[in-house]
Amino acid sequence: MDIPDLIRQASREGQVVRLDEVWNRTEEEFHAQISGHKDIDRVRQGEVCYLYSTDFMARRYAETAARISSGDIPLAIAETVRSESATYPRPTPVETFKGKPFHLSDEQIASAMEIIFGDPRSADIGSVRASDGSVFLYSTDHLNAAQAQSMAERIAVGLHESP
Amino acid sequence: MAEYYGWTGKTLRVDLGAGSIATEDTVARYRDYLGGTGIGYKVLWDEVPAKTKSFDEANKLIVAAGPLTGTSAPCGGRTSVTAIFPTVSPRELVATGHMGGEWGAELKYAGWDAIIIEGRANKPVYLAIIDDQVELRDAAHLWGNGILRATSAICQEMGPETQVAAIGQAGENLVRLATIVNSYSHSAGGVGGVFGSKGLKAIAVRGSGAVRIAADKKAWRDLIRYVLSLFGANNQHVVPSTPQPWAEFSSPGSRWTARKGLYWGAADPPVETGECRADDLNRMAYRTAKATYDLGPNAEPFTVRMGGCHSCPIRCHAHLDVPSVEKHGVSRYSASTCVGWGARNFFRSFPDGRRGMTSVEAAVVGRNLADDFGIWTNYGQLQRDFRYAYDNGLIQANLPAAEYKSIPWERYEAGDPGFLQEIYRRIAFKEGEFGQAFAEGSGRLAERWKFPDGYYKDRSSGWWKMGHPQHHAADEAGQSGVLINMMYNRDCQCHSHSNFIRNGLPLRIQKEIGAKLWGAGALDEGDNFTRMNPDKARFALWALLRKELHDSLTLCNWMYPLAASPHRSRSYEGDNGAEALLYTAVTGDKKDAAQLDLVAERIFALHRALTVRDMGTMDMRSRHDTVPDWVFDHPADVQPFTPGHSKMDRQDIEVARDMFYELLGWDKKTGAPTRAALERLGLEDVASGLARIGLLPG
Repeated sequence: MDIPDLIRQASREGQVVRLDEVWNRTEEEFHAQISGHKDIDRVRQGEVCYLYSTDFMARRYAETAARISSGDIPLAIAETVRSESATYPRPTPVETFKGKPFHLSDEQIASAMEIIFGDPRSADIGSVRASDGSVFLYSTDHLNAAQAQSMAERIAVGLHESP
Repeated sequence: MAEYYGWTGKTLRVDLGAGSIATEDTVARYRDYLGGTGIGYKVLWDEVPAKTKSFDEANKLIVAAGPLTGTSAPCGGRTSVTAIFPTVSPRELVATGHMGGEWGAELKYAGWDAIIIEGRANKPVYLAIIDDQVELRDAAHLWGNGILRATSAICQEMGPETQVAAIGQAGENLVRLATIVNSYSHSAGGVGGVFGSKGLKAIAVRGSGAVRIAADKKAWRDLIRYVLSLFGANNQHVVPSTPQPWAEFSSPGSRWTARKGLYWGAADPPVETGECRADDLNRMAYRTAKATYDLGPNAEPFTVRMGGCHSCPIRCHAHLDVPSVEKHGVSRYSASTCVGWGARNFFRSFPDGRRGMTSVEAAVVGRNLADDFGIWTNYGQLQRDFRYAYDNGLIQANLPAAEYKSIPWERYEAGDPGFLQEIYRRIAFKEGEFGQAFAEGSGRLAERWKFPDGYYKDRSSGWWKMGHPQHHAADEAGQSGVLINMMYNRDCQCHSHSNFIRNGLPLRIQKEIGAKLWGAGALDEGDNFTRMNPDKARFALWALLRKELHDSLTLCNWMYPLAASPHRSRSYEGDNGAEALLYTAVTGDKKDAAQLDLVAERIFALHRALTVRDMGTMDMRSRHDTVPDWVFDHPADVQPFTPGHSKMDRQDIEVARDMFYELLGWDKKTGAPTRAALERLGLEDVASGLARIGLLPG
């Protein structure tokens, strides 16, 4: 399989591809090489370049997948929470991190949350609990506690009780 | 009769008292009202005297499809059943129950657009329609049976493909909170008792014809494909509920619940819903895995498949096989959606939690009992009223001691789904004070048992007005939601606004779409409402007119309007004119969205005129368009427009009323339609009728 097809296959499966794992020359040379493949795009996580196909993956998803691939799970969670609090806006159910693209276990999530709540760089991340016990995270930069609480209750309970 | 496109051209009029059956020309009489609720309101206005009560012989039932019903217009499978409605309190007024399934399409294939039922049979009958052969048949052998047995018996008599809409014991016993149900699980709330009062057990239809479409085949096929391409999942949620590679956005509240690893677990072999990309129309029916949405993850292994209505690719109707419910005396098989599963809300708790397996069992037991006895949930108000009455000691206070003792409350406290047999049987047969009181519906129950003021002021009671609950009100749509909830005599049954607000798109995109349709100020950030403005009034009016349009054409208001779509390439815009495109193609009557909205406004205004006439007052503003105190007073310690709360302001809602009435040209002081407003809609006769009885402003 050539590299563009490998990237497409990975994107179809929800994964980004590290450039340095499939290419041993410079990034510029790689882009010159695949310039005819308009669907191949890149996102950056620190110094690392990740590749994905826009035919099969949205940029927002690729950015999240790259954060997870970098191995910094607390950062990946915190950035996702900030993004959702700013974009939709809404709090993020912790349950989200068990599925794609995170695939985290309860233990991994608990450990990451402990780090997030103890790290001054994520001082804006707060949590609320809905009446069914489900936990949501939100960023105080974009939502206040009362809004987050009320939105969490609606997502966890209200939408199902008042369909 | 002439041949038409869309309409079959024929309306059936059945006088149960005289035993007579007649045919009328639909297009000549009702074309300006489309079908569905439009025909219903028109017949009630023309033929049913003011202040008729729901179980009076003079009340009429209008069971109506519309020009799009039975075509392949996506989600064109609804039927509207309009009458003076039993649960409206304190005075019974016009309202409609709506049902899906295949019944409406079959009616069209039999050659009929609508059925007007009048009079009262002197013995139980059912109406049998096989194309042009229409007859009243003896239903003595069916009377006393539940809906399942009655439906099966009629299918044995008329053929297995027959579509049967029947009442159960609740309707027979004039329970106000009764349904009619077709195809075993598609119900129309509130009208079962009207069937019962007329001695009408069922309407059974078998048709061998087709609906004629004006557009040529290719144009029609292209249009269908275009409309389908704009579809999301149930409620026109346009993003998946979980992050998926193909999707730019996701929303945990979305009904687009399909994902890898989620199965119809009781299918043989199990079927994986998988990821259903927005551009893959062939997988559309997998998008909405509704059982797990409604009932939680425990429902997955019991999901056989998703079902639905005529020409619906969305399939919101979950079919379950739950063997463990047989111990509670009901079938293991069940099908429903949304509040149809709401019987679990009778209970405060279950041994394994609110979304545990016992909750699934309670939902199935309750659904099977409700749809066999034919009992209406009133959008969950039955369950909320029960909980309120129980928790506040009102059941114990109002039942004779022996009756109270006869109810096995320990099973209720234990969260035993079998307890539901007690509730539903007592209501269906009006057994004792319990059964008689709950059979009356929310308004009369609260009056009969003298619910304290706190009930009406308690947000958790769900009470809105006139015996019915809120339905996507201030919590979701601020002042627009309040206006929408004011307008009808039952719960508003309007989803146009909530579909859009819940569609899962970021607020920025919703606002961009909203600005084009209603104005830049129409939408607020979730739980962070701003003061009233004219754009919010336009949003409310759009939602209401489209609801009325859908109930008349008929199209499903749980999918339309298609204001948004799942496509980034369209900037997530849908097509606000989709209904008009379908109407024009089917009927050949060329109308754009604005012109069709004007027809909807005519229908909406006629509903208002009927309400004015039958309430005997013009003062809709203070006597009809009311808002419960809890909208303004809860919680006590926060101010209106505080982020995180949907608390409204009384003066601001007065402004909302002004703006809304002004949009329609209604009298601001009373909220009643003016002569000019009615004449603008071609309702000169209605204006004159109201003027004659002193109920026309000015």
